[in-house]
Amino acid sequence: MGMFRDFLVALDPFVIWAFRVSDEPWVGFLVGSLILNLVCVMFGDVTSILARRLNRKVYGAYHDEMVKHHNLSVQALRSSDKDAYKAVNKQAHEAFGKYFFSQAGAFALSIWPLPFALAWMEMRFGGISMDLPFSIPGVGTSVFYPFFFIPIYIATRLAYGKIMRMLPAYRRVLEWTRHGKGEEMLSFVELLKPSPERDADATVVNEKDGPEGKEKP
Amino acid sequence: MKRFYVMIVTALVALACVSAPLWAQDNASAPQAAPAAVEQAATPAAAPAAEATKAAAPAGNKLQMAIAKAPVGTEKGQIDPAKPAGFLGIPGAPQVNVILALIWAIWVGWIFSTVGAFGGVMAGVGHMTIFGLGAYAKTFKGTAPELNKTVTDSIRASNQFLVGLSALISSINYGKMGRLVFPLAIALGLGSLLGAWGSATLTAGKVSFSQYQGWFGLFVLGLGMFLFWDTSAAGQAKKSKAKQAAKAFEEAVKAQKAGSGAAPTGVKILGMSISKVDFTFCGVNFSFNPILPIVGGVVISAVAAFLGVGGGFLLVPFLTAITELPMYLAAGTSALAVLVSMITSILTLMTKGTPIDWALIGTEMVGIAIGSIVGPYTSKYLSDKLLKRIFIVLALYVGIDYVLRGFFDYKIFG
Repeated sequence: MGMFRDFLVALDPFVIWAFRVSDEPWVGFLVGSLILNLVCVMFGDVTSILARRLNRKVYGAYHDEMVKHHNLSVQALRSSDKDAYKAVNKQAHEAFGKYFFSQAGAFALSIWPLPFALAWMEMRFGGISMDLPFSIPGVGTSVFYPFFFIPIYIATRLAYGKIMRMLPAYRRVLEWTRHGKGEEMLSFVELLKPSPERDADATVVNEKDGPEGKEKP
Repeated sequence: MKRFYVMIVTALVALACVSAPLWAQDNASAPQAAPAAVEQAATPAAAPAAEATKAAAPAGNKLQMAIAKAPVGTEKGQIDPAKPAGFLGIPGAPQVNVILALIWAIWVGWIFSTVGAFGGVMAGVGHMTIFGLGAYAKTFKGTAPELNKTVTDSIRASNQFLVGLSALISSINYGKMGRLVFPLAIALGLGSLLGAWGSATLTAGKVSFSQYQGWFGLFVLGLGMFLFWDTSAAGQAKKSKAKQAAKAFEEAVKAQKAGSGAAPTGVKILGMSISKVDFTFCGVNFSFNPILPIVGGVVISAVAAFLGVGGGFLLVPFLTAITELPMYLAAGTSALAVLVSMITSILTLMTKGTPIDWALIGTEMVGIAIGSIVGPYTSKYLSDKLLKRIFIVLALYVGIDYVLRGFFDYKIFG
């Protein structure tokens, strides 16, 4: 990957500054890691959002097909029809397979900057050990850059998601990428509840009294 | 709250997986003081270009030792220090072309989104054949077996990274949806953990490239046979029957003839032993062997970890066929089991000092994402049956070629 290494070297001045914000080495390293991870998360998020928007119809079709067949399989069980259950369940599996791989692709687009960041970190910090003030079982007192870099990435990603979802504008962007009709997958627990037809009256009560509902006297 | 815990657990598991190089480091090298080490990075004495040649070999000790043991020279099976660093920073190793890696990964992503399981196989073919890493590892078979096995392990771990990604996202999604059935996932996960750990522990640093290629070929042949059966008249008839039955039931539901009857509700245990649990659910009889998910987890994960393929596509049919599990239980729990298996396998390989070329993984990840997005748009012009037939031919070719090359050192082409 000589070409790629040249690219990393060219990128170096744009990244290394973040690690030099402080004369204190530890502070510099941690702040640099945080900034680099934030850039990774943001770039990943933007590309993932674009991909989801681009493929909204496709993802929606896969999702709805999966939910439809799954819910049908629940209904088949409700009517004690094992053959129908097995047949519909098979269809649900096929639909799930398609949806599963489509989502994996979208996820890959949210995480793609991380390996590149790791490659740059390896170029800069690979093989440089850092001493911990205490010993960790199985690790010891000497660690390397991933020990800090990966947890910072995960923490940054979680915090970014939580903070961004508080912003109405970002929520609108997420809505822009929503796929499927929004139909919920039925839980098999539904089967332990009274059937809808038999308890139509109870359903009306449920709507009034919230999800738990109240038993009619 | 449950969703939050699932996210945290998944994040921690992912952290353990990627942080594995920490353990992989051989503490024999004299550690420097942390501040000094960081200072060295913060104020680099060497130019980045010089640092770049330090090689992209994480956890390099095992690799460096393997390189050190290899004979120096310009012949095949020798290391020429004068040559530029290639794969994993090994002097003279193939320089994986970024464009080629990207294009191949787009192809892999396209397969993932159209045919599914075969994507993992093609990722392996890319690493072994298309990028020339297999042929390179093979040159050290006699001269530097340790280097041969280290490069082989790196190929296996790279495959795992690419195929395991789908399990990660799937597990997160299922966790969010509250569709993970933890007791079953734990049973299956324990089996996966055991299988993947055992397989990786027993084979890390011990499998030569030829052996790996042979077994990989055998697996691909098996997959090809399955695809062949799937597209045969018998396979299609079975599918068609299931489709018709599903359609008939759907029509019945629409016509209000079924799906809302007053069937007996609840779960009733009819009998339970170590090897068999019988129960009725809404009046439908079910029975399963509680040991089977664990055994299946062990076997499938061991195979998946050894070959560096996903395993999910094996687990889901296994669970539904053996235990008659409903879709959301099988898919969710197997996704988690695959994730456990993948992480265990990668972690085990890396603790044994297996190096990873992050640059290559990153490039491939981008390609797979692009391919997955393009796939649905193009696949509508090709029937499922035609696609599968194309892959049958590919599977037969790759399978036979790899088996012959790996086990018998016989080349059909080249």
